[in-house]
Amino acid sequence: MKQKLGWRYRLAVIMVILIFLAWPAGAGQAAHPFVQGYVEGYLKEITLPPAGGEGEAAITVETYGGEIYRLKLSLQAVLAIDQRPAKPADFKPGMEVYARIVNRQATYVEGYSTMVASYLPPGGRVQRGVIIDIEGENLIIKDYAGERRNYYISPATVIMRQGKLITPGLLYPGDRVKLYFDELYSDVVGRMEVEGNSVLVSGLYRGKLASVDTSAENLVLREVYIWRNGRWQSHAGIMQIPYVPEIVPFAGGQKLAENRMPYYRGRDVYIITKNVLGRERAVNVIFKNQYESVFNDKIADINWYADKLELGDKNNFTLHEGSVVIKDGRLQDKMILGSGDDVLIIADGRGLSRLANIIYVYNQSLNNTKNGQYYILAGRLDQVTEYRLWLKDYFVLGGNQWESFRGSRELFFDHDTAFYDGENRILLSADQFIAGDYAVDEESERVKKEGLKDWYAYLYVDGERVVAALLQPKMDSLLVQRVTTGTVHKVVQDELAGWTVEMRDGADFSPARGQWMPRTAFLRVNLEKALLIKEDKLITPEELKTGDRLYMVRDDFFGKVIVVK
Amino acid sequence: MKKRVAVLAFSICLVVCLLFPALPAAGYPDINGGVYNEYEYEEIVFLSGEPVKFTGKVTTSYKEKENQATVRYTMDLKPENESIKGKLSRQVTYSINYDRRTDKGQTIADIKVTSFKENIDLDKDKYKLEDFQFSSSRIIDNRPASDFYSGTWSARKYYTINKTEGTAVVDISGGTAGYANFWGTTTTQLIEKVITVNRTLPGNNKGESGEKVGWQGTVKIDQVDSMRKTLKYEENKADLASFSGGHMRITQQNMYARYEYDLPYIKEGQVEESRRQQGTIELSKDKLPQIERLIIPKFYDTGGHWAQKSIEKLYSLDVFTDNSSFFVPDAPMNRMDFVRALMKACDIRVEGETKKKTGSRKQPAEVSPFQDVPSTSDDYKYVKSALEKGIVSGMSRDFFGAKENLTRAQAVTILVRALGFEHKAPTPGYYTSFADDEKIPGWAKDSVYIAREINLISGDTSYRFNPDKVMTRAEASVMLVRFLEFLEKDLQKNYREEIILYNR
Repeated sequence: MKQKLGWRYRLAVIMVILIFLAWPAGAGQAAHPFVQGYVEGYLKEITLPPAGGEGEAAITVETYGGEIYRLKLSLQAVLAIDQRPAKPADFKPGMEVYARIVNRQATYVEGYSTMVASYLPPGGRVQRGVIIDIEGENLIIKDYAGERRNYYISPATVIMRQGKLITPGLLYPGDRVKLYFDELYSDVVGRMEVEGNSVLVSGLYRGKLASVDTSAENLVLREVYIWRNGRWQSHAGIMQIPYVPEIVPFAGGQKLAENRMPYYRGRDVYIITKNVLGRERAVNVIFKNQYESVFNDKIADINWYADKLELGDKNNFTLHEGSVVIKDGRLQDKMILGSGDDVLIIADGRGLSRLANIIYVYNQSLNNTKNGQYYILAGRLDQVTEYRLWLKDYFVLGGNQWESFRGSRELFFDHDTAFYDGENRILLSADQFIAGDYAVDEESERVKKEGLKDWYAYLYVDGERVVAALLQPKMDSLLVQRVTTGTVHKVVQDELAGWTVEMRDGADFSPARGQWMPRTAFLRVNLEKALLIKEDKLITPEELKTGDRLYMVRDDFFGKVIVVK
Repeated sequence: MKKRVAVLAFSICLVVCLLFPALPAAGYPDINGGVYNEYEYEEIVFLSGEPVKFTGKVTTSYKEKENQATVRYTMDLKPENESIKGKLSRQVTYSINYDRRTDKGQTIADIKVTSFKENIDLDKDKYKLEDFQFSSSRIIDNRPASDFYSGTWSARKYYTINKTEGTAVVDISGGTAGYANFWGTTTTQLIEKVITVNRTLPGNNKGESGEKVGWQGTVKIDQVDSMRKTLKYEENKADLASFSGGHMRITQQNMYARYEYDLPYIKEGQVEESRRQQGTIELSKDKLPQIERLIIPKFYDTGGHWAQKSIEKLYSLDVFTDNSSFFVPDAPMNRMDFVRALMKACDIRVEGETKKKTGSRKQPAEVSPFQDVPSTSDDYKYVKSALEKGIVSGMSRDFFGAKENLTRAQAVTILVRALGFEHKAPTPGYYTSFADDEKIPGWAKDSVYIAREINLISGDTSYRFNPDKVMTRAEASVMLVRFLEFLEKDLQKNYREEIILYNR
């Protein structure tokens, strides 16, 4: 009997041990939400008593296993959906939820609803700033907090200026832009909006401050001079000019508070203006501290650590926070300055201690940035076939002067290419150009019989594509031609000469000195036989506007290729 | 029971009035692209095929009654160029019907023309407006600190020329974008007009009709009506005074219009097909700035403090209630003071203030949802309004945390909710650009993301946001002043400069 009991006893003990071994440690206890501290599953119901009413706030959850739990909601309970704060009404039955439980009460309830994580609508991220540089696909801007940011443009990037599509080659450093990104973490710009003509500097004035009205944001100057054609010219006895709200005046290289300006009454002040919303407004105000001097030379060296600039004539200047740099008609970051730039400096100081208040950079190129692929070519039309042409013994305008090349150069054109027959003063379509006798086989009988010869062309090209072409039967002497820049003062239809543009603030490139030489007088240029191009389109002289900036190849009075910048 | 219903109806009316303050008449400029100030109105008329500038007087009236408003424009104008004989008289009344969706915090405004009369004389031609079809609707998102609106419209004007000589039809379409808050309002209209004229020229002999002429032209008009209020410091001119200077609030209002036209080239009544007249005309009018002097801050302990300017600006706006001579800028800001300052600085209406004006009524004592802000407290009205408008939600369901220190995450969340911008954040799962992104609590993440995007905040030197860092009174003041600048300057720049100067 003893033995039997012992056997049964042993069997029972073994069974109990086996059961304990087979049972996962604490499984029974951990399965209960009150023990594990949370419950997750589907929401059945969430109830809250009315404000000030009786009853308890509770949540009912059906776990993935099918058990149903009703939990009291703690008074401090936090409700959220996808980590965002939510109200009880935002929770819907059937929604997946997680509830954290403390002391048998739900202290945190989170529902899950969003299908696509981190989604942002296309263009949902916006960055504003000023272009500092563009090189290849790399776009560097300075945001309005002064921070430099690096982004990328792709062939798919939509770039618009004043509602019109433009190519990256038409962007300038100094352009104010709005960048739209289609993805949250992408640095590739999806769409770019570029400020229009309001970005351009419209005037540089010097006068004596007569009064300041800070409430109306107006300055009154007397004895006002305007910077025109490389010198100060008398402009007005009195001039009232509004200033932009964000104005930061400077005196002696130091920032001034707006309300300190009245203390500078009677002092000479430099005003830089832009046309903003129908009015000319001061965007920079710099008070003269000591004595003005004006220098015109190449930059020899810049020391960015000491903010010092040296010209070719060994004059040194200090750059300050308020130094204004103007290039391509735009206000620019100081960092665009470089050795070799042809500049005009309006300085303030005495002896060898001078502050560079205004730095005007004359350098201009056909290409606004390193990205540009625009060139002007001239040469004999050797062969024209469907959408292709060959120039023979051609010239390329590089570094603002003509360079000759032997041999043949193949280029492409299309139905958007503009052909202007300068001899007959007619516009041609691509088909008319192909069908015309502009490039002939001089050995053929018909050509010999009719005395035809190859024509010559000035071509404005973007890479290998001809944007516009000026056709003429004879080649000009390119040696007498020069590259000139300037701003349209007025466009007139002269009775004798025809359409003529009068330019101000011009500069000619001197190949002998390798330097831009400012012009000190207005310059008239005839447009009748000129190729006039704006934003890759041929335009008529009537479409030129006062204030347009021009880059041109001219033969004395006659414009040849004129590009509106 | 009747009494209860009356109280309920009154409360609903009151809430509606508080949530939806009357929109200014400036929010509904006419669709002709005219600009005006207190003295003069200017507009360009293109019906003759030439741009002709008219100037003269305009009177506008805006009346609002419950859900209806009327805007009336009356103008008598003459060509600015005295060599052109002509006049323009116009009376137009627009009726606006508001559908206020308090549950969504939005309003739909449907606009109709209820009466019109327009006659334009230009040299020998008389244009009479025979019919004016107009359809417009606008959605207004009523957010606590500002209303944002967007509208679309379509219109057609039929004119007769010299009664029987022909017709001029002007098809007009366009859109409106704008905002209205205490610190600024801007309405930008982008208008496209297509003018179609078909007429018979007078014959050489009396009673004889001449050649038929027809032409089409287009005019794009960008029109902006904008107001902003700025705070400026004015030094006291005298030394021997009890204060050295103080702030003034300046209200500036400006209207701008830019016409870009493409018209036929008409010579002696005949249209030259080969040429077009293209050009741009800009008009701008400023109203005289309105100046209000504000109370003078007199603290002993803010002089030379890095946040002195911001503190003094806010004090001038009367947003700090204590009468102490010490601001204690480096002490922590508490949640109640911040919410009160925001409500006051943005002129966000609070229920209690209006109740006083409507007279006392015996009502059952209100029960505060928060234990720490009893309904008898002076601060209750601010907390209640902020809660109703979704600006705050309390630290828990029954605890606002009025005396608790304000953290950066809380401050940013309150400001972004006041703007109603939190919905512009990406869907969850994203991370912000701050180095300590993982420390930003879920409830604040959208607000921190948005605040960074709109430049309300930036990171510290290590590019951290520091969400749990307690804000000092000085830091909170600077953040509030930046918020006011956003309402005043950033919105204006976005709705005016960026729409007009970048897109058109």
